[in-house]
Amino acid sequence: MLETILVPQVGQDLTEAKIVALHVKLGDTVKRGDIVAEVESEKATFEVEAFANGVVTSLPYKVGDLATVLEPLVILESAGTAKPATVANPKPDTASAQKQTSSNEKISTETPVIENAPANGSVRSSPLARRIALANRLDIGHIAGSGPHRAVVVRDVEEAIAQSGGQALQLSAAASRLTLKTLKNGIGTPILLLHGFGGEIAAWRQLVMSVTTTNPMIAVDLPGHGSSPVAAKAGFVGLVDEVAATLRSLGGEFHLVGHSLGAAIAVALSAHAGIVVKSLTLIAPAGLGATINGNFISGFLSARSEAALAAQMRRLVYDSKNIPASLVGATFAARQASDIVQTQGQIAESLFEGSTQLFSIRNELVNFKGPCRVILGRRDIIIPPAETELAVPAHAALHRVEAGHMPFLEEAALVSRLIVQSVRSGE
Amino acid sequence: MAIESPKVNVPSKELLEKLFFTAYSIRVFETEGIKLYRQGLIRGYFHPYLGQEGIATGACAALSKGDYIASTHRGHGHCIAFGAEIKKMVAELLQKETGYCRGYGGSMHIADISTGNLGANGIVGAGTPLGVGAALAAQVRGSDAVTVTFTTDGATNNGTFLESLNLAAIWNLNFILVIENNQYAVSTPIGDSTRETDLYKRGTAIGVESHLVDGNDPLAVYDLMVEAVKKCRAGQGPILIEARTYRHMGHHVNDPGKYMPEDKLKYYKDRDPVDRARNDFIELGGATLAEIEVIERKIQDEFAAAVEFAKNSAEVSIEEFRQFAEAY
Amino acid sequence: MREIMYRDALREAIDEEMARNHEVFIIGEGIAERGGSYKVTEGLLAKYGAKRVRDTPIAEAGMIGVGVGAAIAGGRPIVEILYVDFAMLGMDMIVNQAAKFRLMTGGEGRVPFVMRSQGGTGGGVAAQHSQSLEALFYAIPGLRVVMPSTPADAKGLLKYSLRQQDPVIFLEHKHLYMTKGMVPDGEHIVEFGIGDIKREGKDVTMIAWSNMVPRTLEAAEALSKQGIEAEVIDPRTLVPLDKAMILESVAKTKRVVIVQEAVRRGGVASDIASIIQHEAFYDLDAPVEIVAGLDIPVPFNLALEKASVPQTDDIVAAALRTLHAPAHVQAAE
Repeated sequence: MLETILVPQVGQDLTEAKIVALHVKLGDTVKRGDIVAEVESEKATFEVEAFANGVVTSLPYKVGDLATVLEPLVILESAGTAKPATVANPKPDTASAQKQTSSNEKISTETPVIENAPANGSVRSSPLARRIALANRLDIGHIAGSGPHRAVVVRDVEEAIAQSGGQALQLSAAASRLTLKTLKNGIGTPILLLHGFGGEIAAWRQLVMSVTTTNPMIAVDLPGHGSSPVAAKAGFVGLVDEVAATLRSLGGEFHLVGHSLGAAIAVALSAHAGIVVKSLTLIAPAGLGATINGNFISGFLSARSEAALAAQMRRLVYDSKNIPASLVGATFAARQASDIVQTQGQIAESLFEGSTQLFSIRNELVNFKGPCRVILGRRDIIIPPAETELAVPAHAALHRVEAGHMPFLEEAALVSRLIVQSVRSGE
Repeated sequence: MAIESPKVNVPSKELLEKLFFTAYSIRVFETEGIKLYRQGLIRGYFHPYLGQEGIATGACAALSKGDYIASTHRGHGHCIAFGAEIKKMVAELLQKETGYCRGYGGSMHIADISTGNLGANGIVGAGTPLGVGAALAAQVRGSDAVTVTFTTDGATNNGTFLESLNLAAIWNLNFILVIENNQYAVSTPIGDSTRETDLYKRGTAIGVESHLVDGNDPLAVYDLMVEAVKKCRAGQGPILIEARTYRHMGHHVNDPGKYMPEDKLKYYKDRDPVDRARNDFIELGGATLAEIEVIERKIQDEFAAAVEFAKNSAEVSIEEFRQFAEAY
Repeated sequence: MREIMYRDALREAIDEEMARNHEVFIIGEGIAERGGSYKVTEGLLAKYGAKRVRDTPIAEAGMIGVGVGAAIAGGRPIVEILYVDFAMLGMDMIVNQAAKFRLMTGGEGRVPFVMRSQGGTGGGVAAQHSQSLEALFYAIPGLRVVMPSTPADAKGLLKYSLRQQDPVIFLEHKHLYMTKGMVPDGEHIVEFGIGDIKREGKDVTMIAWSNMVPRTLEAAEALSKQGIEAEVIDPRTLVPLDKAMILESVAKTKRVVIVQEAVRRGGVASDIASIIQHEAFYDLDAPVEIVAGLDIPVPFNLALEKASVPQTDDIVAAALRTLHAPAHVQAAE
């Protein structure tokens, strides 16, 4: 075993000390308490004492040297060790350290993407006027301003919208197989929302209202959900590949917000080539623990009446009034109009076996180095939060909220704020 | 007033053993701590109590459960004498989660509220009003707890010294102010800081019973403190004690103290308080050298175990710190 | 509900908490027999005795320090400092001891210390008895800064101050002691960090505290006559600050005026403005307006004293600027 005696700290801010005496040479045997060297600071001379027994195997400095404080001064091999390990180079390799720093810098100098930047950047306007003009695809340069210095203020934009007949807009997802909806226009990297098993885009509407960033918000119907077709490949990987293809067609850089199965897909996407995930917000994520409430899955899928469906959906929340009747109604109506239950039954079979989840995204989450927040409902009876919590890596921020499996419905304000924080730290 | 050595009580062997145990524990903590500092295991500031061990040792031995102490920037000795756990102190100095203050406080801020240790203090003189406050809270509560503030000669020229001692006096608080007069304010000799170097006289000037004692004699400090505590509990507080002493080195771990005259340093080192406690234990308590050796070994082993404990302790969590900051 | 004076509301709070918790005591200059300069502690000596209601010498550093020490040792002190200007003598004890103690002890040590004091201009008491110093305390992490504007808030916040665990700087205003307001009967507590909408409106958010609240309400009435409905928010506690209430109001009105009696430079208003620009930038249709005192100590001459702090007309003008009212658009150019 090697014991390294360091050049001592001899002042609060001193980084160097002069070696004025070395009382040992290579091969000497040293006892605990022996004085092995003397070093001098600008104030005084200090003796350096050995704190272990051993044989001197390395002396990086000689008398007269200016030594760096807390670098090795004497290296001892303690008695009874079989074979000395190689003595580490005591001086740091500054060249390679610098190299590493500069390559790190390179990685982090990405310019943020600003979408829909106004044609005329020099127009004076209030921030609110600019935001509303952008959201309505109006060129702020063509609006006459009535504020100080002819700045465009919100009343001017409102007037312009009224004149243009109030156009709405849709995000066009070129070449995408899955259904996408822009829930909010804006500037910056889009926030992409991934719903859970059995859900659809509509699940997010309430949350979107309270997210206060300027970033656009886009939601997708997962394969076999809402109005999206089934995935080409079966199983969890099939779902992830299908969503990945759609995201690449959109430009490939996102803040991801996922719920339950959608959260697991979000994590898996972070490991996908061609997709840059700037932050992850995972709400009651699947794929971290092994357990899922199989009884709920089968009950949810086999509900024939609207009343049975409502009863099952109430299990998703802690306070049953948080499941609006309209959501139950819409889910029920969608089932009547298509064979979606059968499709989702097949998806469930490929993802879950009874009460066991057949996929895990724990490794991908450990490897994700961006900002990550995990939000768990303390009262979740679909995916046990205690089990998920154990699998959350240390670098992810964990938030427990008073909710069931749907914290984004039950604690919308809090979840919105956490999403905003994720997005801010990821920009 | 002459230096007092009342020795009114015949000291028991247990008491003498306790005094030696405490004084030697402080000595080991400081000498070994300095070595850890030199090797970079301890960072930041470190003000050793070397040479002053007799005061904390004698004073704290006279206190009971429920009493309070407040201390100074040179506070390790008071902590140990008041019963702190060595391993939690070392862990604090090594910036670990398991330290007294979770690594958030450091050498100058070790406190243990649960035992009545109101903490060391990085602001010279601040312990005096804080200690008077603790004594005031005790009086309001109807408790007979005594509060001892250890302060320094340097702090006696600070305004709060007069303000708070005067408050303790007008309210008859159970408060004992122990001035550790080590004769330097950092590096300025006491004669350059004040014209009257007999600091106990400042107490008499405002009607506070005041005494001078040899701070290098743990037993003398103890005897005087026993009397002072008794008087306080009988409603005759506050009391001021000037304990005269000298440091064995400069102000802090990186100050060689070249301004300290060699003959004076020798005078005080010849009257070393730890040697004094050891000799008292042998001569008055009849301890054998073998007994002494067992005690010394036990203390050294405890310190070594404390270092291992600290080294193996968890690092602080930055995420928890951020949460702490959010609610601060 | 009864209509009582601000100073009576404060006395009720202290009285009720002293009856409820025997650890609560109060020290200050001339507070016992005399009942305090503003009569807040009148009658408490007779009721609770000399152990719990104590006069002190004129020694602010000592008084504050002793209060902090008592709090650390589990007591419940109230230290009354006659003028907040005098608290400057005890700043070490507030800044280095009270505010830092919890951190220095790794979270274990708490300092349930309450310093009551009063600030602000009123009747020519001149530079060393008139300053508004909340920004100093606001800048020190660990302190709670409380500035009630009404009798009800004064009572509820003081009672809460005496039940929580952190050091509180409780700043009253010399001009408010004799003002009256409705106070609920029975137990009335106002927790920290919850602002109060003193007047609802949709056109502009006005944020004010302490004596600037009544003045801002006057300005809101004047604006109402011009058809402009101002929302007046009183955060009541500056630390912790009810950010959510402010941001919600800004999202509604898109315009903000912040009013403080303290000097403009380095003030709490500037910090609130910075929070708003960061968290509600795209809600804003006009620059955030700050109406504040001049960057100068308060002069003695009454006309100059008045000129050194915000008046109702200043607040009205600032609100009109945020609305881009035609006259103000021209003035800005």
